Amino acid sequence: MRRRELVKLSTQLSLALAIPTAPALCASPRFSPVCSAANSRAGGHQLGVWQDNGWEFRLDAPLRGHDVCLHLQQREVVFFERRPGRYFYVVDGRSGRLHHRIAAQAGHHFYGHGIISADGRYLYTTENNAGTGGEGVIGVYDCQQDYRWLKHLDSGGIGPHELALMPGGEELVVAIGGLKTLPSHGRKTLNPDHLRPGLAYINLGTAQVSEFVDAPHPQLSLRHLDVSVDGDVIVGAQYQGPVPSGRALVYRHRRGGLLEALQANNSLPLLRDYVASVACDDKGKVLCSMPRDNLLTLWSINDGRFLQSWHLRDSAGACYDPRYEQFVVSNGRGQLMAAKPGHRDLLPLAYAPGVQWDNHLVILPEGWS
Amino acid sequence: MLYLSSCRAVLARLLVLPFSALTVLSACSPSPEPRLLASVVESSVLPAYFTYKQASENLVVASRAFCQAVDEEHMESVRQSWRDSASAWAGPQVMPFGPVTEDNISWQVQFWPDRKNLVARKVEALLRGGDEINDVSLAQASVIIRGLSAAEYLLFDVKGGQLAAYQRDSGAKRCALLQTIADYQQNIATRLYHSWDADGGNYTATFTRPGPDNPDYPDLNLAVAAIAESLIFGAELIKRDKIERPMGLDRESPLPQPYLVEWWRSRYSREMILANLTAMHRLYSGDAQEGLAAYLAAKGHAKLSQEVDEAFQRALVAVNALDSSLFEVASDPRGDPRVTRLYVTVSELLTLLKRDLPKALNITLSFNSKDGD
Repeated sequence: MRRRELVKLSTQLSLALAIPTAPALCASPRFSPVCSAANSRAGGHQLGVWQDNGWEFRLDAPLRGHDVCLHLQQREVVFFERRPGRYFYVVDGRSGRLHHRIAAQAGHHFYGHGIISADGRYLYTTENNAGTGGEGVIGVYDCQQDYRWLKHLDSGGIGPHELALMPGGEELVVAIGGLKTLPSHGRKTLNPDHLRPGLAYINLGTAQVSEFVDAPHPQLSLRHLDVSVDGDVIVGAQYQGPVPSGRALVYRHRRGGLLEALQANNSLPLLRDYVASVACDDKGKVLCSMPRDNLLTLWSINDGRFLQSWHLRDSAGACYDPRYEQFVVSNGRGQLMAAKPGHRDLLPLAYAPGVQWDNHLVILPEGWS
Repeated sequence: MLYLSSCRAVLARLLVLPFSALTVLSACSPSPEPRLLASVVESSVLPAYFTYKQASENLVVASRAFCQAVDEEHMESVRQSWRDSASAWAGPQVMPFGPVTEDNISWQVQFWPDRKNLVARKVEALLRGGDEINDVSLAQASVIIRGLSAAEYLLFDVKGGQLAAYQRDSGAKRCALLQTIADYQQNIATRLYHSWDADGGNYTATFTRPGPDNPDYPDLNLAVAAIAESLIFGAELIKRDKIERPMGLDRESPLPQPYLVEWWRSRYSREMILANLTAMHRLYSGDAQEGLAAYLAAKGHAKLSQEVDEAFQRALVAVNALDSSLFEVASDPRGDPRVTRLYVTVSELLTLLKRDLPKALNITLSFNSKDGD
């Protein structure tokens, strides 16, 4: 259903259902619909689903959104606010209607990422407990009871950022950035000399941190990750010191081992040491976006071999689209492009004038709508 | 985007209403943006790549001559050709759009900053190895020793870049590497020039004809933004990477680091900044009628247009006032107030470009490079 209509859902959130801008051009879609947060040229913020050549639905949000996660069973999309992350929004994944707007618990704020448990019962979010001076926690919410907050778990470190479920769904893996920040101090790092970034595994049965793996260097802040079908965790870093650091920025972790650098590639023109999105496909490859260097990079996970790179100005989100066997990548210039392993050029999929896609996007699976 | 789509809509209507041809002509009369883009290619981009190509050809010739007659005079001649090539590279270095962004070309030309002295180590390792030096072995070697950085090492290093190094038994191999690198550079420079040329890859068409199916510039606004982003990129590169970090003006690492100075072996940092600013100023001014400066003025921003021009002039004067390379200044504990002056003028230029230019042009700068996470 696509109608031109603007529905004010609340004073802070409005929904627009748009008709496709160019119906003639989307006779055969070349990619699956994507969910993403975005920012407009005029300074506004949106969250929505983009299909073919237009918004399937779009919500105007009061603050910048960051990551998105899908509740497959309930066909809901959860959008997270970022900086400050006061709320997350639960939206009907087909109509775009707002189901819930959930505030962080007192003294807490979201870091912008979350994940739904395998059985669809719980939502886990990375949060900062500003009340205790910046302790990193995992918020647990009950998806079957209107996303009611249940409890907080120890996240294993300061500054938990992106998280994912391990295969089997019994454990979470969390990228620990290590940076202590408090809303009262803006973006200032309050513990510059005591950074302890790493990867934390949390057993959901015992609610305990079952393993913590230190980053190879205290200034390699680990932020974004994805888990391959084989259970390899690939994590990307953002270096918190003078760049370029010359350090490897993408690492693979297998339970019980150390973080292993994917092939450091001296031929990559990396100057800003900043990984924004990490996305694994189902064939043993991983793609990372490095917006500050206008790059996308592709590695083979098993042997850590660097495969290829693409230049994409202001690259942002990245996600694997299994239906079309391609990575869909977005950028801050409104472009959605396909990155196909082995293909030299990126293929333009869609263009949203004036839209700056944020750093994360998610593909809607087949049969969603 | 607006121009193109409205034009297309009118053209579509033309099929239905053939008598509205006059309306079509007036609706499609060239808007200033395509003229600006064409002018930028004509007056800045093509000349920059042409100059770089010519300088690379001269480096090949001078390297050949030197290897046939290894003496001080020929060495000085090839050093001068290297300096000309570096100055010519200063243009493409501050124009990070189009084919130069592919295949890691910038690092194939210049590997900097080289915190771990990789260029010297990899050049010497290649020379020590058993393989013959030719285009095949160079293509298999690290990309960081295929360009001007490795040539600089071979021509200016206090050990590896002296005449004596070429007069030893191993000198012939060193000369073979120098010539092979010069050839490789010439290939890159020729390829870059032809990639823009209408008879070659014709990236000019990509840049000057934005549209929904254009993978690099889906609308005019983004092509105009590429020019502004180049100027900002260049000013940031000079401010942060060429001055702030190596001179210890960075709060994070307040000690001068002479080995982070660009082209420290050849003491060519000052000339490089001068060539960068000259290329940026040219990119900004274009030809008098249709450059970015004139475009800004025509859009009602004559004051800003003038201010940016003046900021360029001040920065150019400030770099001209230096009388030694930044390597010497960074190595001298007394420093040099003229470097601070240069730093201030470049910072002021950057502020104008970053704060005021996007608004005036109605463009948005990269979002993720500003914020992100």
